[in-house]
Order: sequence, then structure tokens, then C-alpha cells
Amino acid sequence: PPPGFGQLLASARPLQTETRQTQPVRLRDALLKLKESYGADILFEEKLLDDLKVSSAAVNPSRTLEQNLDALLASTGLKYKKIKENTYVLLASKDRRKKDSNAAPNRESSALPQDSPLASLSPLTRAEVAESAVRGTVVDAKGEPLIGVSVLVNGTTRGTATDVTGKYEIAVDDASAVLVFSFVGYVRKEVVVGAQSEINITLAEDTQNLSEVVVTALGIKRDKRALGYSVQEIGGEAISTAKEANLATTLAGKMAGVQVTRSANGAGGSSRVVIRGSNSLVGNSQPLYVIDGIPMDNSNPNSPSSTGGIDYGDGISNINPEDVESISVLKGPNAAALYGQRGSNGVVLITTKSGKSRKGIGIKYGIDYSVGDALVLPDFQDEYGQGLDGAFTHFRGSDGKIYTWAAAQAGNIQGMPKASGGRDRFTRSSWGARMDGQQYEDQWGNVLNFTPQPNTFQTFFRKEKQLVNNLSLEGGNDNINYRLSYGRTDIDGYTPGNTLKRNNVNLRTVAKITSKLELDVKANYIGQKGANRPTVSDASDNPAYLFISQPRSMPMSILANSAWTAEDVAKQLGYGTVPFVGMEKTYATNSSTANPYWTVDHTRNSDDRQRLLGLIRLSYQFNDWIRLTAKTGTDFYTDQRLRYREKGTYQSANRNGDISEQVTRVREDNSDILLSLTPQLTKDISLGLNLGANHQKFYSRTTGNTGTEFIVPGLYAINNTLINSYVFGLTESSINSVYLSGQVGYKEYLFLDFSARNDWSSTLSPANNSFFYPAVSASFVVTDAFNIRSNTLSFLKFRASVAQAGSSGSPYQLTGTYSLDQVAHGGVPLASFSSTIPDPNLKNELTTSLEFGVEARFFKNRAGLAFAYYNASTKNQILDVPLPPSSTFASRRINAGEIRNRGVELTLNGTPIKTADGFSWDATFNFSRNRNQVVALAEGVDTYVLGTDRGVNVVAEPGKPFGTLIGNGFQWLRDDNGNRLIDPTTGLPLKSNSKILYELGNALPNWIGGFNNTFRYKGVSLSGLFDISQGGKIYSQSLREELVYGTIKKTLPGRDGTYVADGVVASKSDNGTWVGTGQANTKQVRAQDYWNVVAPDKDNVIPEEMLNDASYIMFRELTLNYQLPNTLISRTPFKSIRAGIYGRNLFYLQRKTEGFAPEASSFNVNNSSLGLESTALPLLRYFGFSLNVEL
Amino acid sequence: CTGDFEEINTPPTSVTTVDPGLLLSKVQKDAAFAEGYEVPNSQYGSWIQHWAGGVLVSSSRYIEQSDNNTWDAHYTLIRNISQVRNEVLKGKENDPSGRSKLAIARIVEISVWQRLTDLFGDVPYSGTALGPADVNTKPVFDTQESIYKSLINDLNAAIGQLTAGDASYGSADFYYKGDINKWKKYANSLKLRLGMRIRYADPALAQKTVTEAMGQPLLESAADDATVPTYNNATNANVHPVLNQFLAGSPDLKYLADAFVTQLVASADPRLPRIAQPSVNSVKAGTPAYKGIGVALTDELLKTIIKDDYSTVSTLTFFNREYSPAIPCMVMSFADVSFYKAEAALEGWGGTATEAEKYYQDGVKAALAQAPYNVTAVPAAFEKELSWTGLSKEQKLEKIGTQKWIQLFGRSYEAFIEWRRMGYPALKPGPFQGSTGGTIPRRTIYSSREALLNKANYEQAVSRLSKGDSYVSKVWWDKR
Repeated sequence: PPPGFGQLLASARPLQTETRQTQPVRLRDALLKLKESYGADILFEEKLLDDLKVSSAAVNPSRTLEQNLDALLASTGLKYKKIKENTYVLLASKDRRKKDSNAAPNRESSALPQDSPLASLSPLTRAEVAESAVRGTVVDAKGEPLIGVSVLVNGTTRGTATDVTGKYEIAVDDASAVLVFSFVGYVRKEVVVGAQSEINITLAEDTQNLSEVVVTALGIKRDKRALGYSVQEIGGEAISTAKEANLATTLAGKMAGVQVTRSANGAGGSSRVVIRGSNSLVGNSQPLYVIDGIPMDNSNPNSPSSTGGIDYGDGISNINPEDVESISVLKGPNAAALYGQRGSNGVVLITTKSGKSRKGIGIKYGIDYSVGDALVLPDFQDEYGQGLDGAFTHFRGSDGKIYTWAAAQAGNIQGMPKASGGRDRFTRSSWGARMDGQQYEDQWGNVLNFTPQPNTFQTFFRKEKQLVNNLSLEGGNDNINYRLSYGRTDIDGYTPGNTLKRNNVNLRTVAKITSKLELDVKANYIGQKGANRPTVSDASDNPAYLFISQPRSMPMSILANSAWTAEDVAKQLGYGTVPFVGMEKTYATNSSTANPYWTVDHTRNSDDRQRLLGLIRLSYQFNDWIRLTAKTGTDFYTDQRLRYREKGTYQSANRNGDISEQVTRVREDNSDILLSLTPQLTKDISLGLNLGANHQKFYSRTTGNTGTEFIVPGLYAINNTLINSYVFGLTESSINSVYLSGQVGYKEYLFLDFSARNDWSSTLSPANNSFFYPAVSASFVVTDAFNIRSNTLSFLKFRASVAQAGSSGSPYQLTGTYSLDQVAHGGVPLASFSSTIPDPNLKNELTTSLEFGVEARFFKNRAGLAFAYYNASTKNQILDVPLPPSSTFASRRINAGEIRNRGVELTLNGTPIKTADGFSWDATFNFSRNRNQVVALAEGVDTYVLGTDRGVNVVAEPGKPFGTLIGNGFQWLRDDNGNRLIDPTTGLPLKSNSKILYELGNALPNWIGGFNNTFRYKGVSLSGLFDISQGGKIYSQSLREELVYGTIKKTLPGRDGTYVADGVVASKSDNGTWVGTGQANTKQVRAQDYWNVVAPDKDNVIPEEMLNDASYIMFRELTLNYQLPNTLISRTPFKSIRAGIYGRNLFYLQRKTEGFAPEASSFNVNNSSLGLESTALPLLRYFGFSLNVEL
Repeated sequence: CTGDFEEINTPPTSVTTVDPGLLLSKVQKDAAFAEGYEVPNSQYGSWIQHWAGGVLVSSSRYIEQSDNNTWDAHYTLIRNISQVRNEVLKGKENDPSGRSKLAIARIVEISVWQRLTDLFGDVPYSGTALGPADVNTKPVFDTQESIYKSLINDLNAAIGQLTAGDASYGSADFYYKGDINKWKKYANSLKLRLGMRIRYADPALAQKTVTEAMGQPLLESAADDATVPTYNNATNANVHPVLNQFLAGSPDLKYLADAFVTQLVASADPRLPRIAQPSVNSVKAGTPAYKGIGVALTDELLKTIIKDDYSTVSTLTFFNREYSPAIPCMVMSFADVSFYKAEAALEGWGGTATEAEKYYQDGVKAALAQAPYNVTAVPAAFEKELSWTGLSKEQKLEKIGTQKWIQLFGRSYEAFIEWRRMGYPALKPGPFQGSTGGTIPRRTIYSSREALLNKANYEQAVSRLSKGDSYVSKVWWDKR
């Protein structure tokens, strides 16, 4: 401990405790004993206790800590002050805080006031001092006053402590005096007094502190050293700077073993968080989110598929990051067994802010504004325009007739080149003439110049603007505290018209009703309104979808007039008899196609989510070792969605528009009762025991209507449609649980945790609905056990755990049923039998996980290392095992399969530089490598299809990792050395005669990591985060479109006929098969012909050519924050002012994908989109600033 | 407190048992509509040159690909219809409340099985459709020959069970509203079709089956046609499948094939204006004319196409949402039966050569009279098509094949099946080589999902195909 300041840290050695007589003992030792018995921190100034002795009998284990303190200090002239839970500071008595806080002491009268805390203990020095006094305030990095900070004049016995407002006052001898400020958990600071009479201090948190408290299962705060499993926590600043609209995305790159992907779905979209790999074939392997002990429904009903849809956002995206105090990630079942079945994918525990005891009302206000724009766009070519074979496709003769280009050339027809609408590459691709400004008539009859249109995305899309305002009020006293916050988020999205407005109101009150009864109430209201969210994936009303194949010569201004005119109809080519005046005008003629301008101007969607997260917790402290807590919480929301498309919309039924409206009401209630016992056994053994029960109920009901074909234009109501049909869905489930958990500690260096839980789930049959799963873990602190005191090795701990977690699957999975078609046929109802064969005897799934870990710190805690190895396997998965269609069923629901995840996680952190003048550099690197293996599927099942898209299947196969990409298309013919065979006549590569299923690679990364650096100097902090993912493949549907239509730079080389396909010349053997001659191909072809072999159309591609390496190193975040020094703001009404600028998604140090962001391309967050990119909206790069002030 | 768990876990939007009529309606409708939608029209309909197809449906250019949708859809039909015998009416085989209903469900099921094997060849048959309690996850592929024998036997048994006075499906039965006599005619006509289909593969069984059927009541007039009604002013799920293609399909796939239009024009077929639309440019030029696009064109030829020079399906009839009354979706017609009878009689199977020509003429006249053609008086210019004077037997077969081909427009599966069996009309493949080396496909390719999940049995079936699982292998009965 620093000189003159004693802190009874958890690591402090037990001192001479053998003496049991009632003779006087040193007060210090008595306090130590109290600390050990009650697990509290007791802070005091060492000198304060000098030579003070008390009777050893004064400590009575049957009393409370505070009763003991009262007894101990009664005769010492000292008193204590509780500064936070389990933390007490000793002060000299006759405190005069009341007077201090009324008015700062006058400098003239500051000749060390009579009843200063130290006066009575240092009578001899009094005469020597009092020459001058220094006063000031000590705050933390956030500007919060720190209470009980020790302030000492270096080299003397003189000292004091800060009061409840963080103020102190101390007498100094002369200007050369040095004040030492120290406080547990903070970096000690020394300041030369000089001429100053006021010294305001900001203490930085000591990130290397020995006793790291983390939030664990059931919300219990634990010393991290005692944990035998892996928990990682990030707090305040890491969340509230560089704001992500979706809280979950904040975790990207910050924790080992946590993989975060964001959907590319516009403002308010979902996120996918996978902890230690996917362990379930069905569902999405996402963790459970628990907010202040209450699970939140994170589902995203009707999420997009590979063929379109809208992402209305998941549950976690509704939370205001500003309300979050800390996020604690329990990785896997070892840490999460107490959350029951939903804990098997890990748990993300979110603790929200609560009020603090303080004087008056603390007012905080923060504003954050950011602007985002596309970071990665397709690499478009701007040389060749609409057409084919390097020429236009058609010709408008002077006689007004339309000829094909060839016919016009052959017949020497006079007139003008003409473009045609169409659906395939023959008309609307960019394989045409060089754009030299020549005149031509487009497919609608506009006479234009043939010039490049490079900025299609930039013209159509807008910069995304996000404004977040937060105001919070907090306050309280020893008996009650409160925090009320209001957050407002306004996003003006990248897609025109896409907006998101969110109001978060959060009220949290903790009250001590009596000295034993505590009440904790929280109400969090979320109102979110989204408008015109974009359609995503392979759907033409995805606004990005058509730009990737749009002819490079087509001006956006032509498309901006998004409805057909009479003149367009008369002069069009390629649309057949389809268009009519007023209909949506598209450049393509697909059966479902769209004009993005029409989409944003004439189709609408809106959603309104009203959500209430509520919590009431009552806890009663029977005595100092028995506490009973009862809590109930709810996550209750209504999600209302409306979507309509006006008459004329190409995709709507018969171009007559449509509308759908639905309301989903979701409610999840959780009630818990928990008995916590912390009996005092012996001096060396600590014991904690929790016994609890939980009742969970889930309810979701969707009702709505869809209507197709508007009768009267301009009225967007269901009753104005020709055909109506209903939307209805109802899901209910319930789980009852009892659980037990306990902790045994021996001498503060050996810890054993155990837990057990039994669930009863409504989704299984009565015979199988009860299931049990246990967990046990151990932690051994080597440095303490062997009393290692070394400057090199500061701390070493080993830990191990084994745990199980169960899961009972979805409701209604036991019986096969008949369902009615939505639409009857002429009044005759139609029914069909479910395509899944149910198994009424389904059992629960079971995940078993084994984990080992090492944690070490070196060089006086300047460097740290944490390593973990885990092996988790999930068996008896409730699977819809796919059946061959000839069985007449699509799947059979059984318990089957085993998926194993093995991996290592490594976190390194250190402080390479730390100078006396306050400069520091902290660095953290995390690395994780997960090896997933599908050990077995069901008997006789070789393949489980996770997702399919054009040209590719994503599957799980025994013996291979989850997420194998299987091409479903043509394959290059190759020789034995793997060289492509080239047809000697055409000079083009040869491909298989028909489509083949063959393995392309795997979607999962080899390893992921993050590298974070923070530089601090005085009030300035600069922090940068690199997010790394290496390995894994992505299949790009966009690339296919770009190659078919020749819109990207990749298609430029060899357009003049000089393209040489890589490969060896082939020759036809006697039996008719192609063999290689070994001779390299040199035959020149047109680029168009080559790429048309690779991708002639959507359905007949060479899948391997669409594969991209998903590796990336992204400079994810850079934040610069400045905390204005107190000297500057002391004359303002503000207590604290902090300003910052930041950038997010700044740039890639490494990226191998072609025209899209590898980590932000999936169209939903389920297994089915693993490894698939499908016309993703671009990832945005944000720049923003934030300002936080405190009154 | 787990007492309410069972109630909580009861599915809220579905039932555990159902009236069998709802399943029958579903299967009758889906089976009928399936062969007239855009995809079958553009693939099978393009192979037999009714429709032009195009680059968008690459199988129309003979590029091989598995036919997952057709495969899945047929086994789904079988799942639903077989629920009637496996669960809903199980045990009521001899009870008037179930006997005839079971027989009708069986007859419908047989028609689905026949189409499935006709398209693919050997398919899993005997080892599947045993009910949800007895699912075989690896059903073996039966030979088409054995399937046909079994279907004929099962059909005979079902015919024997049809009993007047038994409980009826009533209005749930789209074909006949539960009229047992009509069902008997339909079942015998189906038997005739089964027998005729195998005439070149197993002449003995074919002759026996056909002759038996010819001695029983068959569809006698258009009033006996098995059809499913369609509804125009309703959702696209209720409209005629060809109209559905017009409303929901691609403008690029609405064109007719050259061979088809040429045949209609050359023979002065009165159905021409009700099948085809004069090209846009010919109408603009004031000289309305009909012209079809060639099938399976090469890229070079595709570039020479200006779509407005070609004919789509007629916007007066099939491509007309206002057409009234809505065109029924045909399942089996008196015309179908007449053509089979003509062919049978030519062989002397239950008829004479003289009767054959009359049956043929009945067929053509019935075909002309069908909606939406409604031609009841044969125009003079078309009379020649009805005459067999001076024709050889093969030429007569060619006549039957050609008129059947026209009559089956809009029923792309059946048209493809009958074209392969008869070998008429003679069609010239398109110029694009595709995967077939420029020949018209003779079957379709097994589902890739089936190949993946039932591998051993799949491979065994493929080993029995002369040219593997390709478009160019032939099914057992395909001998022409």
C-alpha cells in the first residue's frame, strides 16, 4: 500500500490472528478482521490509527459490520462513513461537513479549523502549520465527485479525506509541499502546491486494479479473481462514445470470442452476436440478453430472407446505449448455466445506470451527432455503356422503324442508335459501345448523349445523419436514490425517406424502505417509429439492387421520372404490351422489378414499436447473512407495421398496388424469488448460497390484414382493396425453474462455485418436460496461495469449469397438424398436412461445456494476460432433419446431432508507457479461434441445409465445420494439376455439361480479434480500435449481377478482344472427354465472351468465381475525447464538460471482397444467411462529435 | 404449476384432424394448376414448342438442371391425398361413409403418380406414402414398369369400390361434385390413359388394360370433362394458370413458339386468334399477322429478335382477366379420351378402324369446342384436318398426335408426355446445343435435394438410365 494510506485489499495477507485473548489488539488488526468477515473495504489514513488499541472482544461476529464498527470506534475519536456498498472510510469525528457544504471556507479563516478531521490526532503539529490552506474538489474521469479520497501532505502525518461532494481542504507548510491523492481503484496522483490555493483533481481509474468486480449470473457482483469461468465486461465509456445505433454492435472487436456481424439493412437494423461459435443448427445461436436481471425478447419477427423483406430491427436495438452502465458477457454455459435453457449460447448482461446519493439534483446532458456515408461501393467501370458486343443493340431508322443493330448496319439504314429494355444481358448489359458522348435514343425514346454516369449511388442515396440527445437527472440520499433519463434518437437514413425516431425514458429508483427492506423499481419506456425502411437482399425493390446492374450510361434523371408517360409508351422498346401511363417505369422488364425512385416515392412502410421494460425488486435483509429477494419483470411491446404500394407499382398484383397492416403484441414475464445466504463459517472459509425459483411466460400474438389491388387510387386503406386476407399468429410458452448456486472460498485464493437448475418447459410432453443441468467451477490464485511477491509476476490464477445447459425448443413441435390455405378456391376451403413429421417424445437439448483458463499479470500489473480453452458440445438438438422429398415430407423433428465448438481465447493488455506527467498508453489485444465441428447429424442424414440461395447452399455436414458452402452450378473442367481447360477453338474455358454440387469453402473465420489502443494525457484521451477477422468465405450474389451485366472494372480488360483466359489448351480425347495438353492458353477472346461463360445469367454461374475471401482488418473506431480541466470550468455552472470527436468504420487495412463490406453484408441474422452476400446496402463510415456536460 | 402446459402448447392456428374433402380440393386444384404456370410452360411447353421459352429459363435452351419444384410439388400432392387413406378415413374401406371417398382419393392419387413417373421415369413409389407414423426416410426407386403395373391394379380396385349411394365429397369435389357415375367414367378413362401410355413398352398389358377400359363407360361428352373452375376477379391464386403467367409472369416469357403458330396458321385452325395474338408491329403496320419465336436459340439468333415482331398468347382469351366465363382448368377432357379411343381402335383394341376415324373427329370437334375456343361448327378451311382419307396408319397417328398437341396447349406436362410417347408431331430441335447436344429433352432431371438426401437409392435408379440422370435418357415407356 502507498505510504500513509492503508487499504484492506482482498489480497492483503492475514495478519497475526493467532491471538485469541481478550487483551487489547491494534485497531488496525481488528478492522482487518472485520474486513475479512464481512467482505467490506475499509479505508483509512494509516496515521489515523497509529497506536490505537481496542479490546479484541469488541468484534462480535453475530452483529452487523456497522454495529461492530460503532463498537470499535466508540473510544477512538474516529467515525466511519459508508461511501458505497461494502466500502467505508474512517474519518476523525466532530465532522463539519454540514458547514463545509454550505459555503466554502473563507481563505482567511482557514488556519486549520478547530475541528478539522485531523486536529484531535495531531495536536503537536498544529502550531507549525496553518500558514496556508489548499482546497479543491476531486472528481473521476466522468466528473463525478469522489468521496473519501485520501489527501496527504507528502512526508508529513497530515492528511484529510474528501467529503460527500468530493471537496477537501488541507493546511500546507509551504509552496514546495506535495499533495498526494489516493483512492482505491484509482491511479494515485501527486501535485506540487506551488502558489495554488485551489487544486482540483481528476483521478483516473486504475484499470490494473487488483480487485475487478464483474457482474455475473443473477446479477451478482463478484470479484473476478474468484470466478472459475469466463466473464468479460465493458463499461461506460466504451459504450457511450462513438455511438452505434444498435447497442449489440458496440461489442465488435472488443471481446475475445465474441463475433459481431451487422445486417446491411439500414437504420435500426439487426445485429448478430455469436459467442464462441454457433452451437445450434436451428435458430440463430444468439445469446440471451438480460437487462437488470430481466430477459429481453430479442427476436426479429419476419426478418428478411434471401429473396427480400424488411429488417424491422431486433430487441436489443431498442435500448439506449446512454442508459447502460456496463455490459457483461457470460461466455457459454459455464458462466450462464443459471439462465437455464436460453443461456446455452451465452448471456449478455446489461446493467443500466441508477442514481447516486448526492446533494441536489445531478443534471447531465449529452448530444451526439454523426454523419455516415458509404465506405465500400461496387467498383464500377465508366467506359462502356448499354449494349452488347461493343455496340448498340438496336437502331431507330429515319423512317421511325426499329431495326436490330446488325440489320441496320447491313442495310446501311440512316438514323440513330437505340437501346432496348429487357430482362437479360442481351439488351440491358453494359457490354456496349465506348461512351464517347454520341447521340442515341434510350429504351423510352429519350434522345441522349452516351456518357458515363459514375455516381449512381451518390446521386440516389443520402448521407445518413444520426442525432442523439440525452438528458438525465439523478440524485438521492442514503435512503433513496433515483435516476430519470430521456434519450432521443433521430436518424435520417442512407436510403432517401428512411427515418428512425426513438424516445427512451428510463426511471430507476432504489429505496431503503426500512434499514432491512430495499425496493428497486425500474420502468424503461421505448417508443420507436421507423419509416420507409429499405427492402434488402435479392429483391428488386432493394434500392441497391438495380444500381449494380444498371447500364453505366443510363442517367439517374431519366429514372427519377419514375412513371411512364404516353410518349415513353409510344417510343419504348423491349417492354411488350406491359406498360401503361402512370405505371412504375423500370429499366428492366423482370416479372418483378422496380425503380428505386418509385420505391421511395410511391411505396411506404412504417412501423411503430411501443415497448415497456419494467422491473420491481424487493429485498429483505434478515440479518447480516440472510437476504431474500423477490423480483418480477416484464418486457412488453406492441409492434405495429403498415406497408403499402401505390397503384402502378410493378411488383404488386396486376400493378394495382397492395397494403398490409399487422400488429404484434409480445409479452415476456419473468418472476424470481431468490434466497441468499452468506453464513460465517470459519476465518478461512467463506460460503455463499443462493436458492431460487423462476417462472417465465412468453406470449406473442399477431393480427392483421393484407389487401391487394386498390380499387380507388390514392386511398391507402385495407377496405379499398379488391382482395383481403387475414394475418394471424399466436405463440405461447412457459418455463418453471428452480435453481441453486453456491460459492465456497478458502483463504481468498481457492474458490469453488457450483450451480444446479431444473426446468419444466411447456413445449415438451409431460413425460419429458423436466430436465436438470449442473455446473461447477474452480479458481486458484497461485500468487496468493504461495505468497509470491514479485515485481515480474504480480498475479497468477488458474481456473477450470464444467457445465451443462439445456434447451427445450419451440412451442407446438409435438403434433402434426392440418392447416388451411389463406385463400379458398371459389369458396371451397383447401387444407394440407404439415410437411414436418413431429415426434411427441422430444427431449431437451443439452450442451456440455468444459473450460480451462489462466490469468496472469506482470510488472506490477502493467501487463496482463488471459487465456482460455473451451470445449463445448451440444447434443440431442431438436432438429427438423431434412428428408428426401420422396418421403412426402420435408423434414422430421427429432432429437439428433452433435455440434462441437472448441477454441482458445487470448487477451493481452498492458500499459507500455506511463509517465509521471500523466501520459499513458494502454493497449489491449484479443484473439479468439473457434473450431466448429458438426460431429453428427441424425442417423442416415449426411447433410443439413442451413440456407440456400442462387448457385449456392450453406450446409452442415458431419466431420466438417458448420457453414460449408456448396456450389450448385457449373464447374470448370481442369487438368490433373488444377489448371482450367481451354477450348482450343473458342479460346474460352470449358465447364461441366450440367450443374454439379461441389464444395467451395467455409463461411466461418479462422480467427477473430481486436486491437485497442488508448492514449491519455491530462484530460485528453485518444482511442483506436482495429477489428480483425481472418479466413472464411462469402458468396456474392452482387458480383454475379455485375459480371453478367459488365458493370464493374473487373470486366474491362480485354474488351477489345484481347482477353486471354487463364488455363491450358485442351484437346478432345478418343472417348470424347477433354484433356489438358499442358500448353498455356494464349488465344485472345472478347472479355464479354469470357465473362459470359463465368456468368451468363443468374442461374447458370460458375459458383467458385463468386466466392470472396471474407478476411478483413478494419479500423473500426477512433475517438478523441477532451475533458475540460476543472480550472477552466470552475467559474461556470458546469461541473464537467467533455467533448469528443469520433470516426467509425474508418477504413480497411485489409479487405479482399469485391465491392462490398465483408462483415456487414448478410441480409438477416439467422444461420440461413451465413456466408451469403446479396446486394447489401453499403456499410457506412461515420464521423461524429459528442458533447457531454454536467450541472 | 405445470398444469396449464398442455393447453399452452396446443397449436392455435391448426387442427389435428380435418374433413377429407378439404384435402381432396387442395390436391385436385394444385395438381391441375401445376402444369399451366410460367415455369412448366417455359420449360416443358417450350421443349414441345408451344411456348418460345427464352434465355431466362435456361432449361428451355436444353441446359440441364434438376427439377426440384416439380419433384417436390408432386410428392406434396401425394402427402396430402394419401392422408385420406392413411389417417382421416383409415379403416372405413368397407363403410359407406368412407368407401367411395377413399376410392376417389385413390384415383386422384394414381393420376398424380402417373404424371410423376411419366416425367422422371423410375421414382420412389412402393416404399413411401405410408403415412406420418410410418415414414421411410430412404425410399427405394421403383421401376416405371412396376409402378405402372401397380397403378393399374390399384385403379381396378378403386373402380370396384366406387358405389352409388355412398357418402359424397359434395362441393369439395371440383371435378364432379361427388357424382359417382362420372367418377366411374373418369376412372375408366384414366385406365385407358395408363394402358395407352405403355403401348410401346408392354404391348400385352397395354392391350389388356385398354381393351378393358374401352368396354366400360368413358367420358362421353364435354359435360363429363374433369375440370377445376377458375375465378378471374380474385387473387392470382384463383385465376387460370396461364392467366396467372400473364398477370404475374415475365413479359419476356409470354411468346409462342414458331412451330406452334406455324401449324395453326398453316392449317387455318379456327383456334388461332383465340390462342395467339398478332404481333405488335404487324398490327401497327396495319397487317395483323401471327409469328412465333424459334425455341432454344443461340445467342447470335437471340440478338436478331425484336419482340414486337412476334406473337404472345391471345389477349382476348387466356391473357385476359376480363374474359368471361373464366376458363376452367382442364384435367381430363372428352377430347383426350377420344384421341386415345381413336388410337386404340386403330390397333383393334376394343374398337374398329372405322370407329377410329370417328373417334378422332370427335376428339378434334371436342377440342375446338373447348373454352375459350368455343368453335362448334368446323370451318370449311379446316375440314381437311378431320379427314383420314388416304392416310397410312402412321399418318393417322401423326394426325392424332398433332391435334392432341394443339389440344393440350396450356397443359404442359401432359403435352410433353404424350409428345414423347407418340413421337408426333415431328419437331425440329432449336439450334442451341445446351447440355443435350441439340436434341429435345426426353425426361426431366431428379431433384438435387433427393440426390443429396437419398443418395444410394438415387444412384441405383440413375444406373438404370441409359444416359444417366440427364435430359437425353428415356423413361421405360418412351420407345418412339
